[in-house]
Amino acid sequence: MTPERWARLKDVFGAALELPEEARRDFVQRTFASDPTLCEQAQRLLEAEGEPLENAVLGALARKEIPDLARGETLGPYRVEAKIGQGGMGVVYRAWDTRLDRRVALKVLRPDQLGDSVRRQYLVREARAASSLVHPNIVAVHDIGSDRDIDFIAMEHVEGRPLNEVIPPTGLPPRQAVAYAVQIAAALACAHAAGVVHRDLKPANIMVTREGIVKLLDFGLARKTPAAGSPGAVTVRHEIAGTPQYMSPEQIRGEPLDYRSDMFAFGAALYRMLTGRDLFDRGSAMDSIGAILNADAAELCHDGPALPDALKRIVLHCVEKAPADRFQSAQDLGFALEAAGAQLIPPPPAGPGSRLRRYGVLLATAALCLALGMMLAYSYFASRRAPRSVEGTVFARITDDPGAELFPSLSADGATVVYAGKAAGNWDIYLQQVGSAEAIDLTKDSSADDTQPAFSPNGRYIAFHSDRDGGGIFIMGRDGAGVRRIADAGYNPAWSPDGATIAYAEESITRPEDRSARVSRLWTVDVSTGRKRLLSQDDGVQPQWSPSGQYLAYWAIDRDGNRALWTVRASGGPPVRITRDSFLDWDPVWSPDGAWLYYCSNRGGGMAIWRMPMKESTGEPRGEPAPVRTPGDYRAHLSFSRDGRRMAYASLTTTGRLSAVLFDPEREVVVGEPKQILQSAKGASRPSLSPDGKWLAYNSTEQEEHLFVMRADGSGVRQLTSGNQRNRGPRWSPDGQRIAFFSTRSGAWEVWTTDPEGADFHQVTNLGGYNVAWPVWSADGRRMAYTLFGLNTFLIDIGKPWSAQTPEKLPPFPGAGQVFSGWNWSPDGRMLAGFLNRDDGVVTYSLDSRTFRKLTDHGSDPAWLSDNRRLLFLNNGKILLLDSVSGTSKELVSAMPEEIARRGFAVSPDNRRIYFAVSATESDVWMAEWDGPPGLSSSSRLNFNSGDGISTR
Amino acid sequence: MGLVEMAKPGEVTALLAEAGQGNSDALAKLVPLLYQELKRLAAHFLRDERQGHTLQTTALVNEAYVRLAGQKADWQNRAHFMAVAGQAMRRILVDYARQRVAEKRGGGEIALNLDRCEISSEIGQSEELLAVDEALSRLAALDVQQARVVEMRYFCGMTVEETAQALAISPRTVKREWAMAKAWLRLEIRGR
Repeated sequence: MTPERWARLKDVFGAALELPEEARRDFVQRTFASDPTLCEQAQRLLEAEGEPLENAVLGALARKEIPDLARGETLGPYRVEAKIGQGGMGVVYRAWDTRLDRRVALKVLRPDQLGDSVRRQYLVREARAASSLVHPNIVAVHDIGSDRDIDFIAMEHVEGRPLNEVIPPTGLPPRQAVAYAVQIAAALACAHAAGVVHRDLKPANIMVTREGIVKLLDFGLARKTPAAGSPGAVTVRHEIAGTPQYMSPEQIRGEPLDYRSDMFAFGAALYRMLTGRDLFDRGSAMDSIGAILNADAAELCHDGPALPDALKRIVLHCVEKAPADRFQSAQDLGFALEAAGAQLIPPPPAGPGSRLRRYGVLLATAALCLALGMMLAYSYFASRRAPRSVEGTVFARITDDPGAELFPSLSADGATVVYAGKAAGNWDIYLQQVGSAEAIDLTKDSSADDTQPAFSPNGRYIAFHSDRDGGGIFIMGRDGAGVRRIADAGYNPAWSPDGATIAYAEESITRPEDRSARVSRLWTVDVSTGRKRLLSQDDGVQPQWSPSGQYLAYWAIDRDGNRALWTVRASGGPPVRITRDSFLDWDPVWSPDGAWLYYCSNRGGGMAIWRMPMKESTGEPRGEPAPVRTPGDYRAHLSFSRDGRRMAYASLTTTGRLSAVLFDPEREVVVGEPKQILQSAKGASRPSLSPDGKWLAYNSTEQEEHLFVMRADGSGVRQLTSGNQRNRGPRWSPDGQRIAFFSTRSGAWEVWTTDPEGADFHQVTNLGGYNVAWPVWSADGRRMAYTLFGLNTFLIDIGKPWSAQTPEKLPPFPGAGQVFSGWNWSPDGRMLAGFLNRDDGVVTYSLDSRTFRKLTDHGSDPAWLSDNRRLLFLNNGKILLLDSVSGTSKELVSAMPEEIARRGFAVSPDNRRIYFAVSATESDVWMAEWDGPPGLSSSSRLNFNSGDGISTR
Repeated sequence: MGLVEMAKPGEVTALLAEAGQGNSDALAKLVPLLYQELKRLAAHFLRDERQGHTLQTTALVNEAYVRLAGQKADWQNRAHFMAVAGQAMRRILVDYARQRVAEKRGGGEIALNLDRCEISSEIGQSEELLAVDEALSRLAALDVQQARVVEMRYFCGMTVEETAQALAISPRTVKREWAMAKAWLRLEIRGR
């Protein structure tokens, strides 16, 4: 082709393109009427220009645009509100989840990111892996879906700014940086435990909310550490957008990555937070890469702005060139950060008259406390130079062993604390001098669990609960000698102020969420004579004496299922209700001056300490409750020194995990190791499998109780319920269409059902005033059993409306105070398996003969296998197999050293898989010390923190 | 020891300035310099690429530019540079594609998202890239400007505006040239 002809062809082609498509052919034919060759060439070019791209070799030459979604448009159940961002993977919209009525961030994936099906599948799989991460510091992935060929990921919508925009040019104050870093480390620990590596951790991927809560983004782009058999060649697209500052050396070199690559990124990000600069920044990406690979980080650090030593060490430990030299776990990193944070010198007390400055200091101290997992080192107590921090209040964590330390009890002089700890494998009572890090195991000679210690008023004795010798309340000297039993049953003992009497309850309380179906009564026992006296027929747990000895405070479940505080005269009489709300109010303790009732409540969000002004003379409240700001997560188990200047308490962190293990019902053994499928700081319990075995429903347990559904492999977690109501015990209907559960949606606990999407809620029971719990479907799905708290199990016909129901009450289980809770219907429909009280043994009920048969003395939560003969059940944190004919049982699953959570397992329909929930509680004992007089009358003395920033979930 | 031996910044700046005054020799000398530089950069990015990163050629070119010409070079120099970068990137990518085709059985091929000029390693499209290169050589014989547009848009990931600036033509013309070149290349490759 001559240049002239080419130029002509080009002209005509260009001109034709300007025309509407249908006019082009005509135009070309007219223009090239005399030149059929050029005419044909122009036509072919125009056709090639417009033809479907997939057919052309160069299909990818055409840009596939992201469909622009307008406000109000929907994608699946999501209604678009506004475009809020654009990134490498696609466009992000703010959207409304019309199903759950909540705001979400909707990431619409760029079609060319997904290109072929292999990559798409891979990406979806990865996003699912990320969606199994449930953690307050990780942006939750709610949903991965596709609508009209548009792929999207629905995520938690976070109001906040990316960390890179939050960091000032010279860096954040070290306390602030540590506050964020601790949260990032927590998020990484969760992800790493689930086998998910972020791979792209950088300040731009870290959101900070106005409340200072950190949320990690884009785990969806992270890749799971290579599992055996995974196609190594398949990779996820991931752009290098200019800066390699946070890439680890192994990442730059293209070597396989594991979680330690995130440690490197973390260190680089921490440095940025502290200084506002990037440690390896050399101006250009290539030079920076060179620095990451070769430069001595310590030298770079030395040349940069001064850092607190401890933090510098953490940064350097993170950015070691060799992964093996770095922190080996995000938990270790978290501990190091807490320790480093505690070494930061607190700001000097504000000078007089400087309100504004003082406020600043308050905030800074609050930030520090909140940030560091609240650790002002116990060195404050240990050293005489203990800085009396703001308003004379000092907080210290006085135990820091891994594992749980619970139930601290202070001696009257506040110099000694006893608590229950599990460091020796079983629960023992430990005694520790405040200010010393050394604890003495007082009950190490007993292999039985010893817990719930209480110092006698004169400080010479310790009362406690022990399982030894048949169990009960025991007393020993403060040296652990002279153990004697004073009551053959009971929990949570409390001394009367004169030391002559001990009050206790029938039911043990560590946390208030899970209660037995039985009423727990309160008793007192005379220490010298052992004579017992029943205080009240009504429900009551965790009794505590008023300083005058006239009243006892305790808490109980009312008929609406609410945990409320009560007082009752020690000499007897009608109880007085102290709190009337739907919050979890528990663990009451009188202030030593009798003017306040301190207690734990979730009324502010997280489980925090509150106090109610009291008239000790009448045992009645005299005002409204106010929060007592203290460091910690889930605060519990309060105890005061007699002068009221010291208060010990426990701070609990609970992590829920769901695991699956293969089971061989013929050989009656589990096969292989359990595999974790979900780890959640929200907790996860009461799993239930869909009839096809593909889906798992469960409920969260920490702070909020909501229903979730996910695939049985732990992917695709979606939340079914939202709001302030509590929702528990999901059970899939035999046809897979509905999920029954019990909920406070209507006020009191009632049974409800929903479809598996959480879109269609239906109230089943309407008892309004009883606690309805634990719905159980019959095998044919036509009947349902449920338990009424303190009463019995009832059967209804699920097909009828409530108004037409005549609930059938099961005959009472023989023996006083024995409540049978139906738990699992046999596949043949003839038996209902259940348990007595809390865990007093597995019982079957025959629907034909209307009789019970008690199979075991301990344990609960039986589940039938499909042979209608054998059952699995839970006892003492282990899953056992039970033959209902022979009555023999054998242990199957033990998640030692952790315990399988109560109400915490499910069997797959083919009986070949057991899913179980483990609840791991980490807790430490904390102490608050006030400089001022013990009256604590000025509420500002305690309320020095601004806002309850701990309640992150 | 640095990772990359630098081309002398002064040399590049001088060449760019000469190119700006219409010295085509200078331009010709720039290409190999740039080629070396980009190749080094690309090698590092591509190594990571096998871990799943995507090489974004625009980022690469920008990086090379800043390195070679310094931050303060003016937009004209930059336009010249970009014009050269297109050719250099084309050579790099073709080199890689050849290499990949040669070691085809070893797997780990380069995939191109042609329009966005990203390279990723999972799907082998190396042969197609070579086909484009070959067809593009034929197109260059007919229409140098159109070939340059393809180099910049396709091999270098430059936007319409950047391409227009580098070639000192209007964005409208770039669009037209791009459309026709794509159509022509399709026909040409399919016809083989």
